[in-house]
Amino acid sequence: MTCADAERLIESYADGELDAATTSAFEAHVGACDACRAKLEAAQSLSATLRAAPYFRAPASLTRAVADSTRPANVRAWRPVRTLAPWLVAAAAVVFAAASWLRPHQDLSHEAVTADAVLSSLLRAVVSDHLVDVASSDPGAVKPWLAARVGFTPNVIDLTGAGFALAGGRADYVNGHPAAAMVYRRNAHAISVMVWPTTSPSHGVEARDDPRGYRFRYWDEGGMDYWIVSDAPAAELDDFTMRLHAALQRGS
Amino acid sequence: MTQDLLEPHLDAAYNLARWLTGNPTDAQDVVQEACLRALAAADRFRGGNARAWLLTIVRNTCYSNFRARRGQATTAFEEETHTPDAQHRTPEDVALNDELARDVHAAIAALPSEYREAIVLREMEGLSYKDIADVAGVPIGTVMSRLSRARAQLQQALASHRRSQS
Repeated sequence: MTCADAERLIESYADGELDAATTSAFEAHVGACDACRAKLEAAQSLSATLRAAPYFRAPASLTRAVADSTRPANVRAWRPVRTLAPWLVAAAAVVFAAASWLRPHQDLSHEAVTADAVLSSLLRAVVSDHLVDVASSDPGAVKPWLAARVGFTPNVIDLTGAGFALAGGRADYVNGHPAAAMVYRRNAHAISVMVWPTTSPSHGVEARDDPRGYRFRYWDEGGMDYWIVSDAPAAELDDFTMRLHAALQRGS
Repeated sequence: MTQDLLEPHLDAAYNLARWLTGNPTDAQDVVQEACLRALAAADRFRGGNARAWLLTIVRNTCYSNFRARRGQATTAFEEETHTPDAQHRTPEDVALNDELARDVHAAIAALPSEYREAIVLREMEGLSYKDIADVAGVPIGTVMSRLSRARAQLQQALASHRRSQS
């Protein structure tokens, strides 16, 4: 083995990656060659110095939080209900292959609080007969109306082609900040979409049910927090959710 | 892949996340997210090295979060995270009081993130070149060259310490 060969092998040797035959040849060379031995010692000395670097152990709070959030009952992937037409299911599979990361349950209480706030705002509006404050099926009219009142511009999607007519919009509050509500209808049930800006990274769709008969579908995308709430049957809500989510991801 | 399989590797997961994100808060977020992803993708884990598998997800979570934040400081270590603060001393602050530890910390932190992750996985986790290649998603030759360059940069940064050791 020449010095040139040995030099190329120094790191691999120090990392224990050489096979037995090469190891023997390397050690034989280094035993007889001061220059190469010095280089090997320099490499080993660096490794020893690097061991002074802090090894960061998981804080106890993290270990607990992981245990809590990964307990089986809390981990729920969202899948569209099976009664969808087969072509819809296939399309949904494509859409949700990309969006299937579970949202980290870092703060379960925050999601519960938000679901409550979203439902409260809906019920308040229903009770006071103000489900929509601007009644229009034209996204071009609803969007600027909302933008002027909530301080951000929501993306108002036209889903008429899928049979979901836009009934209008409403400016509301969720968790103390302005939220835009867009209301859609296909059959008897209204579907409300509440949107507000967020700094959370994009997350895939998650589902929640409220015992009073309302269902939520929610996700983060493009700097916005989306919460859909409705008493529509799950199949219809999933159809709506899939189309809206896909349209928003397309940026249409 | 169950929760039990993840637990022994939480330290390794946190250590890698801490070195890649540069601060404890982001590191904890990453580890939590990575654990949920690991369980959601459990059907893709075919047995074998659970630690390397989890570290792959941790690494990918770090990088996808970097992209999501678009330019907020992530690879730079902010001064406040490693300046001991009398009121909020954590075990990390205590460890970094040692001058050598601080300099080694700074030298590793100054590495580009691909070199840094190779050094952390090799020197701290003792992963083989093959496992590092799997975690980083690059060929073994790339791992070796990253380690080489990282070590050359570290040698230079730490030259004064090594001289004083001999």
